[in-house]
Amino acid sequence: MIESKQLLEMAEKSPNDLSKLLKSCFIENKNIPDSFIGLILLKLIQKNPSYAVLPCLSELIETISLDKGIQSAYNILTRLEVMLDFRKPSIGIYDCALHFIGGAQKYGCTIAHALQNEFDITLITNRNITLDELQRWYNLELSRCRLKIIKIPFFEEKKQKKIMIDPADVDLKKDNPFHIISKESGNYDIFVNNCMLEMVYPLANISLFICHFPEREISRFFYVSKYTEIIYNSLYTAEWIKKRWKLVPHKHIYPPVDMEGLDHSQKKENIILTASRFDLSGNKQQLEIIRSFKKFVKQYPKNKRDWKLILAGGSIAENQYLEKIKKLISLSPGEDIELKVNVSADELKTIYKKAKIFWHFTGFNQYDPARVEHFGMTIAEAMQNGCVPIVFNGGGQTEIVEDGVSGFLFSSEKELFDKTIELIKNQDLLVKIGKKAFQRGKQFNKDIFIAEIKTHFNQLLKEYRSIKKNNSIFIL
Amino acid sequence: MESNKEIRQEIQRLKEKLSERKKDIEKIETLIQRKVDREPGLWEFNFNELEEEMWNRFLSMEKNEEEMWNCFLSLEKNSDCLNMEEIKSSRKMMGWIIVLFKKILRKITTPYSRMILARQSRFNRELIPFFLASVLSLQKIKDRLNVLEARTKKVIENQEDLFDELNTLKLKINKQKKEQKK
Repeated sequence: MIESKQLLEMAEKSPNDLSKLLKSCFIENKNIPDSFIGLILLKLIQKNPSYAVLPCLSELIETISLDKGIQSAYNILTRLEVMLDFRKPSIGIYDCALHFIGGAQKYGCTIAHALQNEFDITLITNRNITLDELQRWYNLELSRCRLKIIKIPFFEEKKQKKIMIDPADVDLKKDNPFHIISKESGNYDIFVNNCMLEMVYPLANISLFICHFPEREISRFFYVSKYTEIIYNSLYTAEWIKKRWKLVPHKHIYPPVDMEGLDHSQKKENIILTASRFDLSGNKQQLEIIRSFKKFVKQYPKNKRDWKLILAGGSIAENQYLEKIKKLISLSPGEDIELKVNVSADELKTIYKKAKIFWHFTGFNQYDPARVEHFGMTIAEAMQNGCVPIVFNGGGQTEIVEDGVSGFLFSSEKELFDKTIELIKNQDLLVKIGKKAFQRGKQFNKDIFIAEIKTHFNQLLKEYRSIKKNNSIFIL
Repeated sequence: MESNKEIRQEIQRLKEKLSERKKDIEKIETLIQRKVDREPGLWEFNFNELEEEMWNRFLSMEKNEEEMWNCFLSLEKNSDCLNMEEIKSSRKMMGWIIVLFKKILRKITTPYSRMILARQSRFNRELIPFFLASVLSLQKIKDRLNVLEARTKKVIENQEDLFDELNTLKLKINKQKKEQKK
């Protein structure tokens, strides 16, 4: 029986015999954790002169790669470099939809922005995009980050190439096309999977799976349980991770929202605003919002006077859903419905400042939990500008809006109309709740997100740099 | 410091060497020397894949209705488990003893095995046409479903547009009525 202590002593006193002993441990099928091998190598380097270390280091790595695989040997060396302070730790942040403006992508880019000084950051994606575009879209400074575009042959060679990489297209009977990304993940100290793509197998020493919602069921290519940690964006998401994947997520960090106005008491206009992406699938339910507004106008013509509906959001070039919205608006030209597509962040902020009420329907009359808002960043954005939210009572929205305090929740159209009318009639209530919404919105701001991310990653790094002592107790 | 530099360079050199080896390896199973993906399960197949699997696995042929008759005949032939196969041995020296032993054994056990196999044969004969009929009816149901799905999709697409237009027309008519009253 070899005690782990023996291995550590040997690393200190007779490095030349270390490889032999390690080999015999492997032959006897001893399962030595990578972290403990790292500790042995660290001891070897720290307690011996370089002329004694250099010849046996290469031999040791060869022994490790033969038994535990090349990736393990590579990971041990990677960790050693960081432990010995030879270089900055590296992070690879993967997002297959980085070429698309979205809340999840903003989440990942803000992580990159927050950590770019302490870490060597690489943003990994599959479709063409530039750092400049990302900086402009999310108003973030990413100058110290790198961008790596890895094309996935399976999706590139498709006859009808979709705008988005859709994991649902993967044939579960054939090879996993995302293993090209799995392989890439092994080149970093920390790998962050920001697009909740469960088909990427993490090979880095530390791996984080950021889950915005567990969209797909467990399949043949499901590796979320292989990640070191699961970070989730809302309690609603956490609940569904447990239900759908039977996994317990680790860390809750709300998304960054940075639309904060200076003051809630700015001059406001009679505007009901809704802001969200014009999703091809109609997920954000703008059509339903227009229909409800029309009904609202019909039911309360006197109260509605001077009020208009503005629909703001981003869209891709060819969007059938947006066309439907335009058609529906054109059917009733007399009504005050305005469409603001792909407006700049500044313009959007101006609209938020002007609007008094914010409507958000995502999840209303839906049965699929994925179609319910997982968090609702635009709601928090509206609140940061003192806009009173009236949102569907479900999903992550209930975590943002405190019903009757910083906004209203509705479960039926009647409830929506009643609450809207109440606010239109009672200006004092509108101002009072607007003030509360403004205060509540501050709790989701970017600075809080950045502080949480920095604390969490620094904690991970601290543990990564120092191998826990209890590793050396086991008997091989 | 100098010693640190040497170690740093050595680690970098080793990493580069490993990186080169990593590039040549396609499967991540080889990289980490353990199994990553399990075999696909039947429950992961979609409708078309399941159908294909049914034809391949149970009928041992590509999906082709013309060949079905031949397949039916071969299944029919095999359905009779009372039909005795000839007893043979491939051994040159001891072969005849083995054949003799097997023949005696068959003679002794036949009355008992026939009781069971006769029931099995009857069951097989009834099951095979039923199974083939199920395959064919499934195919027909699927064809009808496809047609219905396409129709429903179109109807749903048109329905929303019609509702919107109808509502707008209603509003216009109401407006006109009010104006006429005035």
